[in-house]
Formats: sequence, C-alpha cells, structure tokens
Amino acid sequence: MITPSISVSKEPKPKQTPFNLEKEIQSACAKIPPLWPLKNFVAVNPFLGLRDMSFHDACRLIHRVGHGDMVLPGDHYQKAFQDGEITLSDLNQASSKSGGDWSAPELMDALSNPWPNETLQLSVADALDQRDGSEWQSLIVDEVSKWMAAYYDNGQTLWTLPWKSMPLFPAWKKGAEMDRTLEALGVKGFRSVVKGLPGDPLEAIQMIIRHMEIPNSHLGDYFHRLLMTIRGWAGHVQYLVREKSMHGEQDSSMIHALAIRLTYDYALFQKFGSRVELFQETFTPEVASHRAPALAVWQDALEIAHRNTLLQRLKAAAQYQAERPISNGEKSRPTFQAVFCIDVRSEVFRRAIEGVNPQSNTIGFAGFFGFPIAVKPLAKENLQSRCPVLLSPAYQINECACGDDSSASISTQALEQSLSGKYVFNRIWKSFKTASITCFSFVESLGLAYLKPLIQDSLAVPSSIKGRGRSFQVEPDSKEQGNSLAGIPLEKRIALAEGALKNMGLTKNFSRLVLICGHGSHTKNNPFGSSLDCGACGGHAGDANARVAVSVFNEPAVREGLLGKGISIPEDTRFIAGMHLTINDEVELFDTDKIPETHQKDLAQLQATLKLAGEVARLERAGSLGIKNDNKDELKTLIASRAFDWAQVRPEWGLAGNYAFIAAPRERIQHLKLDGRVFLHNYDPIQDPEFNILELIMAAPMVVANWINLQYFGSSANNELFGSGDKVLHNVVGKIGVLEGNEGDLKTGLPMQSVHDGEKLVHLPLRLNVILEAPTAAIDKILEKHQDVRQLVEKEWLFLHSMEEEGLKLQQRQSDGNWHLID
Amino acid sequence: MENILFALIIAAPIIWFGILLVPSHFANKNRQSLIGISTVASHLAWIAILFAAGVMILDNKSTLTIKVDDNVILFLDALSIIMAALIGFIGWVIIRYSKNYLDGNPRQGTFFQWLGATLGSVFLLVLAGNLILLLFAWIASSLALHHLLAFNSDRPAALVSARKKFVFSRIADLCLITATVLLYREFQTLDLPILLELARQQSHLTTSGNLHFALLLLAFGAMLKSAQFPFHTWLPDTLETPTPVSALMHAGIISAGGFLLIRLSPLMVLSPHTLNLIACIGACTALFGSIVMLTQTSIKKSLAYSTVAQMGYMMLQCGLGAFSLATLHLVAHSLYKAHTFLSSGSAISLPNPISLATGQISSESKSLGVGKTAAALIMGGALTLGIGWAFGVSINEEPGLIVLGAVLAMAVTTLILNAGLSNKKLLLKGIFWGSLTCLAYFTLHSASTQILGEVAPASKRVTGPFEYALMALILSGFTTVFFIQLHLYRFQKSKWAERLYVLALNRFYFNTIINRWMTSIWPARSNSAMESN
Repeated sequence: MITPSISVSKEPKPKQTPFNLEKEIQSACAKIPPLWPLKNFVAVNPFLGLRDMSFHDACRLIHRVGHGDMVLPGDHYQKAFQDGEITLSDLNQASSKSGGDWSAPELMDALSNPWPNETLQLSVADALDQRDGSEWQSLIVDEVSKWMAAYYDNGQTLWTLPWKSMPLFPAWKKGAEMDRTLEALGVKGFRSVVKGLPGDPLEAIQMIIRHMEIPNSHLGDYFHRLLMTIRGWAGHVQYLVREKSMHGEQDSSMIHALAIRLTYDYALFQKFGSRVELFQETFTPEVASHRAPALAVWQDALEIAHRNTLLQRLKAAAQYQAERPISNGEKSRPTFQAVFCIDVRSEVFRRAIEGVNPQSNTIGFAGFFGFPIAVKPLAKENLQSRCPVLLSPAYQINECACGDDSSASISTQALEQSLSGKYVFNRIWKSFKTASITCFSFVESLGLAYLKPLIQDSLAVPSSIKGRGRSFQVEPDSKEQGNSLAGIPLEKRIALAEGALKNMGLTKNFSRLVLICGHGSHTKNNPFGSSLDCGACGGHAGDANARVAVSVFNEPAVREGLLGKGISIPEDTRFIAGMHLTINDEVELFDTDKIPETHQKDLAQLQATLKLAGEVARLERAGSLGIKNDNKDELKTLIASRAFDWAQVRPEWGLAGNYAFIAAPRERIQHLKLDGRVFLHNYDPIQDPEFNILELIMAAPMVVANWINLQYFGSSANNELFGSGDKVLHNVVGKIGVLEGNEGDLKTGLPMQSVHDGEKLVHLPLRLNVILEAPTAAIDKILEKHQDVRQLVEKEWLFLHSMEEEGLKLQQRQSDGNWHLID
Repeated sequence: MENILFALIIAAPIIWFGILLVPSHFANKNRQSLIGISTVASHLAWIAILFAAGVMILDNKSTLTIKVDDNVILFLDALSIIMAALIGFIGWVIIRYSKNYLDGNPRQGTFFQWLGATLGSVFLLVLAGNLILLLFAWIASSLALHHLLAFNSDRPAALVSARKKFVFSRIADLCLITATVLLYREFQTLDLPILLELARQQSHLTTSGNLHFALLLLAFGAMLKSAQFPFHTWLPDTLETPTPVSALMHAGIISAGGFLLIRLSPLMVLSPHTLNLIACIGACTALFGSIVMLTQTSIKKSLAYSTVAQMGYMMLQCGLGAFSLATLHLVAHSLYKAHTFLSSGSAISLPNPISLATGQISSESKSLGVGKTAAALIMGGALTLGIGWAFGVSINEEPGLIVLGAVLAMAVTTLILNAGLSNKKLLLKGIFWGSLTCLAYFTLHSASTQILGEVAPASKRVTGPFEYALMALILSGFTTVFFIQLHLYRFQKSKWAERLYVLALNRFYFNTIINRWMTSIWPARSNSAMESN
C-alpha cells in the first residue's frame, strides 16, 4: 500500500546561527499561513502558524497583533444566549473548562468589554494613526501591496516590473529608490532612507531595529504585527515558499517581505521619531493576563451547545440501528456502489441516492480516490496538482484526445498543435486589445461586437455543463522518449489500486457497476470558483482523478495483480467515472460508450437513480438558496441558471455549515439527516486490525477537513481579518487574488457572500467535531506518533471523539489526554 | 402623435425619478418590486426610442422636436436616438446585473433608487431639447451618481473618491452654467435646434470673444466630465463601488462630456482654437492613460486607465473634427467597457497578454529586426490605405483621418508583427484579423458618416497650416509610443525606461497628491449628512 510522504508540518527549519534575531524573524514569518492563488484556491487554515498554541492563547495573540478577534463579536453570543441557542448549562460547562477563570455572570458582563487592560502591539504607523487620526497604516499597506503586486504579477500587466528576476527585497529596493509616493505624502527623505539600507534584507532588518531600539523581548510580536498588516501578500509569499520547499528548495522571501514592510515603518520613525512615544509604550513590560479570553469562552459554550446536539443525535441513531432487525437484503450484492468525496455536499446527495434506491451502497472517501496525480492539460505548460496539498503529486498524467489505438496518439499531437496555436493567438489578440495604441483601433472597429455577449450574459443563456477534461493517458507512453515522466507504470497502478480500494473499504462484495464520483462546481464570473471545487484535488474538479482511477480499476492486468494482494474483483464488475456537479446536483458520467452491452441495464438503472436523487437533493437545497418552488422541473432550471449567471454572488453554498467529520461504517449514520454539514469517511475498524487506515485518515483527510473548517471559521467569525470581504467590490489583482476596491492588501479567506446571506450567517463558526469509530487506545497511539495531529487535538483546534460498541459508546478526548465519556 | 411620443419617452425617466420619492426604508423592504419597476422603465426606454425612430423614418424626417408651449423640450435626431438607445440598453443590463449581484444587501432598495435617478437623468441629458434641461440633467446625473459612489459609506476610500468626483463635477457645472449664460447672451435662445441652426449659418471668422470663451468653458466642462488629463484623477479611484456602478460609469456617464461636444459640434467648430486645445488634451490623455494602463496590476485599475485613454482618443477625434467617428467610438467603447467591467470576475481565466518586457511569446520566438518591422509597417499601411481607398475615404474632406488612419495602421502593424514572430500559420491569421479590423473600421466609418454626417459635419472643421502642424505633433507622439512599446524589451533596463515605469506604476503621482489634498480639506472619517442616506 502506498504511504505518500505526508508533510503536514511546514515549520521552516531555523538555521544554526548565533543570532537570536534570525530566529525571531523566522518564527514571526512562520505564523503567517500560506495563501493559494485563486486558480486553485485551496482552503487554508488561517491559524496554521498558531497551531502550537492553544485556541485561547491564539485568540489573545491575534487580538494583540491583529487588532481584532478570532471569534464572533460579543453581541452575537449575547443574542445566542437570549435565544436559548446557548444555555446556562453550556455556559457553565465552558466556564468550568476555562479552569474557573470565569463565572457565568462574569462572562455576561465581559461581553460589552471583552478585552480590558490588554495592550495592542502597534507598528509605528498604528501609533501615529492613533495619535493623530492619520491614515498611515492604510497608505503603507497600499504601497507594499503596489510593489508586491508588481513583483508577483502573473499575467495582468503588459509592462512588467523591470527587476522581476531579482529577489524580492533588492527588486523592491530598486523601485522604491525612485518612488516619490511617500514623499508626496509628506515623508520627506524616504528615497534616501531606502538608499541607505543594505541590500540584504536580514542586514537591513538588523540595522533598522538597532536604530529603532526595540527591546529584543518584543521583536517577535512587532514583526508579527507588521506581517499581519500585509497578511495577504505575505501569505502569497508563504505559499511560494511552501511550494518550493515541497521540491526541497529553500526560499527566504518571507524575510524580504518583512524587511519591506519594516522599512516603511522605519521611514515614518525617522520622520516622526519624536511623536511615537505611543509606539514605544507598547514595549513596556505587559501585565500578562493568562485568563482565558472571555469571547473565546463564549465560543466554547456555543460549540458545546452544538456538539451536544450532534452527539445526542448520533447516539439516538445508534440506538435505533441496534434495535432494528437486519433484513437479509442488506447483506446481498448491492445494485451499484458509488464512491463520493468526503466533502460535506456529498452527504445530501448520497442520502438521496440511498433513499431513491435502498439497495445501492454509497461510500465516502477523499475525492482524489488515492491517486496523487498532476495533470498536464493539452497544450499547456503548467501542471495542475490534483491531490490534497499535504501531498506531493507522484505521477504526471497527460490529457489526451485518445482512445487506446495508435491512431489516436497522432490526433493527440495534432490537437495539441492546433490548441497551442490557438492559445498563442489568444494571447496576441489579448495584447491587441489591451496595449497602448492598438487598443484605440480595437475598440472602434470591434467594440460594437460586444453587444452580443452583453445580451447573452445578461440573459444568462445556459449552455451545457460539460466535463472539463478530455481523456487521460494513464499508461506510460513507451513510444515517446521525451515524455517518459508521464503515466503510471503497471506495478504502481496495482499498488495505487490496492491502496485506494483498501482505504475506502471496498475489497469485497463488489456490485456489477461501481461509480467513482468526483465533484466540481460550475460558476460564471466568479473569482472564487475554485473554492467550490474539490479540496482533495487541490482546488480543482475531481473528474481527472475519478477517470484515472476507473481506468486503472477496469484494467485486466491490474485486477490480476490485485488478486495477489487478496482483492478479487469479479469479472462482471465494471467501474465507471462520474462527476457530481455540486451547483445543480447532477452527475455527469464519463465514457459511457465504453460500458459493454452486458452492463447497459445496470447503467440505465444508475442513471435513473442519479436523476431522481438529483431531484431530491435539489429540493432539499432549494430553501437554503432562497428558492421557494417545489416544481421539480422549474427548480432544476432555476438552480442550473445560477451556474450561468455572471451576476450571481452566491451560486451555491459550498461547504458552508461544515462542523463535523465522521469516519465510521456507513450503516452507523445512514438514517441520520446531517444537512450537508458533515464530512463522511467510510471506515470499518474490523477491516483495519493494524489501524493503518485510521492513521492515514487522521493524518490526511481529517487535517484537510480541519483546514476547510477553520477557513470557514475565520471567514465567518471575523471576515475583516480572515475573510476576503465584499464580493461586489472585488478587484482581481495580478491573476493571483483579489483586492477589495481600489487598493489595500491582497485579501485572504472567503468572501462575506460565501458565509452570509445578507441577513444572517449561513456558516456558524464551529470548530470541527471529529468522530472516529475506533478504540481510544488506537487513537492515542496514532496521536503519539503524529505530533502535528496531536497538537490539533490538544490545543483544541478540533474536538476528537471515539465511537465504540456500534455507536453506543462515545468518548471525547480532553486536552490533557484523558477520555471523557459522553452520556 | 407628438404628444404620444412625448409621453412615451418621458415615461421611463419619470418612473426612474419617481422611485426616488419612495422613503428608503420602504424601498429596502420592497426591493423586489422596486427592481421590477426599474426593469419595466428600462424596457419602456428602448421601446420609446424605437418608436420615435420608426416615426422619424416613416415621416422621412431627420430631426424631431417636441415642444411644450413653444418651448423645445426634447430634440431627437440620429445622435440623440443612438445615445438614448444605448443608455436604455446599458440601463437594462445594469439593472438586471444588480438584481442578483447585490442580492441580500439590506440597502439594495436605496441602491436601485439612486441607480434609477442616475439612469433617468442621463437619458434626459441625451434627449434634452434645450440647454436648461440639459444642464439640469447634467447636474442631476452627477448628484445621483454621487450616492452610488458613496454607497459603501463605511469605507473611507469610497468617500474620498466620491468627494473628489463631487468637487470636479461642481467645477464642471460652473463651467457649463457660465457657458449657458454666455450662449444665451450671444444667441438669445437656449433651444437646441435653433441654437444649432444659428451656429450652422455662422463662420468661425465672425466668432466673438464671448462665444470663444463660452465654447472654451464648454470644452472644459466636457473634459472634466470625461476624465481628461490632468483632471482624470477622480475616475480611477472610484472602484470602491459595486461593479455595476463602475460599469455604468465607464460605459455611460463618462461619455457625457464627449456627447456634449458632439451635440454642440456646429457651435464647437466656430472656435478652431478650442478644438485644437481639445485635440491636444485628448491626445495627451490617450497616451498618458494607455501608458499607465500597461503597468497596472489589478483588472479594474487597468480598465479604469483604459477608459481614461479611450476617452482621450474620443476627445482627440472631436478636436480633429471627426465627430461622427467620435460618436462611434463612444458607443463602441460603452459596449466594450460595460462587458469587460461586468465580467471582470473572470480575469483569472483570461489569456495573458504578451509581456512587453520580452516582446515575444516564447524563448524560441525571433527578435524584432528593422526588416521585419518595416515589412509589417508596409503591410499595415497598405491594408489601411488600400481598404480606406476602396471605401472612397477622402483625406481632403476629413484631414483628421491622417492621424486616425495612422493609428489604425500602427495597430494592424503590431498585430501582424506579434503574430508573425510566433510562426507562419499565425502570421496568416494575424493578417486576416488585421484586414478584418480595417474592414470593420472603414465600414463603420462610412456608416457613421452616413448616419451622423448631418448632425456633426466634419467638413466644417477648419484645417489650416497650424492644424496640420498640430496633427504632425500629435502623430509623432503616437508614433513614439508605438515604437517604444514594440522595442521596450531592448531598453526596459535602461535608466529612463525604469524611471518611466515607476512613474507609470504610480500614475505619475497625480492621485497621491490630489487625494492628500482632498483628505486634508474633507477628512474621510467625518461623515457628512449628505452621504448618510
């Protein structure tokens, strides 16, 4: 079985150095989470860099350096308490959990003033703004953002930064030495300040902090504060650093980014040095309060309330299941099996399928189906990594025009050539439209032609939603020497198939037809479109992985190889690939023409079931989309039209609402309506005596779910700090991310519209509740082995539960390592 | 008939203005019906215009004046019909877009109220039959727009930019009001058809000093409204507003300045020096805007500078007397920019342009020699001249075409060069699309001359030696930028190119300076009563 290299921890290794400073810098930089570009907007835990501290401590730190909260505003909790969403008993539980720091009445009082006597870490710009009511912070962020965007621009500008080939800090320095903006704003001598800096960012930082006389003990927080003001661009840098480190390369660009931001503070310090006592006051020894932050305790209470409900429902379901006689039908061969992603949106659809066709069987598994591939689209240079970002793709798969015969490979080449010609001409045409001089004649001659797309787009004319890819070449191509990297060799195909099938628990009782169903969304004019795609596929649709998996599973040589590993796939079992379109709950099936005559009836049944299940799922989702219509045909049109509407800011709710992750046999929760809020992973401890699969689940899918959960958490708890703001103001920058309005920092996280319907939060921030059907000892052993995962549990970035005795016994793991029985 | 027409035409603006009277809390509560009513108004607008056009064609009339008590209220001719149809259409697009785009916003009703008022006043602006109504619509459009720009009044940057626009607009208003007074004193009438007829009978040789001054003021007002250099700074900062407002502004309202000049073109030609000034400023704006555009990293910012540049080019056309081409440019730009702005969320999936820093697509591409440049220039020039000749374009009648045609030739040359540098197949494709561009250009040129020739006669524009010298100067400016752009990859690392880059990236510091000045006189943190609607 495969054990992909799991690189959950991306702690930059501190170099052996006598300077304490470099370590401080490194650790401040490590606190900034990476930010993926929008073309594959992977959900990131915004608190990734803080995971070695407890949730409560992180709240305090974020308050200090981010000047905002990590949890909801106080009035939200107040209302939840008044409405009975949080009961007094929840509050008491939370307060006792806080170690008796707070009594319930004290917590009530704290809502109006949650942070008494806490000092904020200021930058020089902050101090000036607080004192004079100036706008230095935002002006400086604009400046840093301007240069970062110019340096990292990925295809927006025609005239690119002349110093792009240099490292970040020297490149910026070149430009800033000529930049009169700050001088125009009143900071005379800015350019000479920049000229006076050493070219090496570390030396520059050293020089600056020497001049500014910042005590060593406060450097960490000060640096962290500076990076928090440019957290978007710093996050982009962190992403690039992370990508490089996946390939074993070192990159110090984070220090460059810090040095740039620090220089602007330094310039203000030079100019207004006499006026920044306030700034220095932040360096007086703080009265360290170790009391749990009041709002965080309220958040605990809110989560306790919701967690209790969930756990009680789970127990009730287990009881129902235990009392229910098992009918014979359930153990016989299912009409078909369908493997879906663990994504919370699959829950609704899987439940619908099983409702429509009770003899069928659905399975939840990470949507890359255990195939860590990188896809090379035809005539494109860049590979798309279609696997969880915790993994490095192990195999390159080329898109092709192909079937199996040799004539097809020629047509792939021809297609590639014609496509690449087309792509090049598109770029030439784009230049014609947007370059100086040429743009005038373009508009005059061809501007009127935009009448047509204006009408079409306004009417949201639907076209068919088609799969995004052509076929994929899975076998390595022996004929092509140059492309020998592409494809998966036979023994690896067998190993991947074995791993995938075992991990999804599909090793026996195969049905005649097995659907491997990835998922993807389809939206228009939506910069955040990829955030609705599959997280397990690195922010892409899951079609490629499903199709590759299916072609491997169907291959006779692979099946023969699997026999040796103890997996016997019956000859009459066919796998078929599909893609669940989450926007309208339709499933597109691939290569149906390759399904043999013998399986046509099975195929027809599958198609009929999927069609009906789609209707059921749409009806269930309609209410949350604000559609009041239960005519199934009209509903279908209404929902589908959202996919083609260029003005639609809430095409679908994505993973909003997610709050739990359950790894258990399907029957445990089959009769539970979980409202599309739970990640479901099939797991049967009986088939996993060594708990290898459990270990994999805890190290990868659970962590991915935790990233997604905390991304939604941050974006809804404090959108200003961790979200990307108002979609209607978004302004795509450098083809990397969005700005909100004119300028400002690159935005991180999800837009307000993804978590809020205009009146209320649709995603309530709740940390992930993980429920694993496994003995506590096995879980503890795995936690022992995986430091990072243990941190998530013990620092309360998620809540871990063990489920035993067919769901009747639930225990929660406490941060001290003890297990607490849920009664 | 006239009465029906009148009622039909003013129905849309009356509805649009009418919803402004609804109390805003009521409007926000019943936003769906408000949106419905606005949509109906936008349909009424284009139906009315179509109807009017039909009536005029049937009656074989090229102009139609609608009077109430002997006062000309509405004036319809090819220009106002085209513009009103455009505004009705853009209005429909924007309304439809904003319906879902702002869905869930608790102040969506308020948004639609001001959107309606803006559309209504721009609609009236282009149909106005007298200068008072025109002035009223001009001012009203800007005041209503102000509320849309300051819609996100919790964002300081939104307030700063809205106020900057507010100040510039009031200066423009002042120019226009003064000009109206002066025109009245000169002609004793404010009715447009009479005014234009009187102007047509005059010669520029008898233009009085007062009239020169009035026309200069009109030009200033128009240039402020259409974001001409160095008064452009209000435009690119107005991105703190929902995308459809940007689209409306860049596709519609920004054109008001150009429209004013074209509307009053029979008057404008009476002051050749004013036109010379317009041409100069237009050319500067076009080059300035398009150079800044090249360096902007965000989609909306580069679109904003693209608008500045395009408006400059349109002004240049006005200055050269090519009023019908300017109208074409205006309409084409509106459609192009409306679509580009509204679809700006798709920016990530658009193809990357060819970087000027490398000047080529891939490392395999060949570099650009004198021979290739010359060959492409000859091809571009031949295509332009050949197709222009085939369409019977006469330079004598339209001297301004020397400049405009040269720009077209340079554009086609660039296209052919870029395509040819990649490979042979693409060279053919480049030539094909280059020819198509020329063909479209001259087809539209002759069509617009046909339709608008009477409204805005190019031949009345006086062209003497001074004007030819000016055109040569302007042309040399465009040619310089053309060559710099093509060969930037050679000297992008030279000191002057680096300096120019930093200047362009910083938008030549105009915004920095003016914003600093604006925030010092009108601090963003203090909310005035005006914006808190």
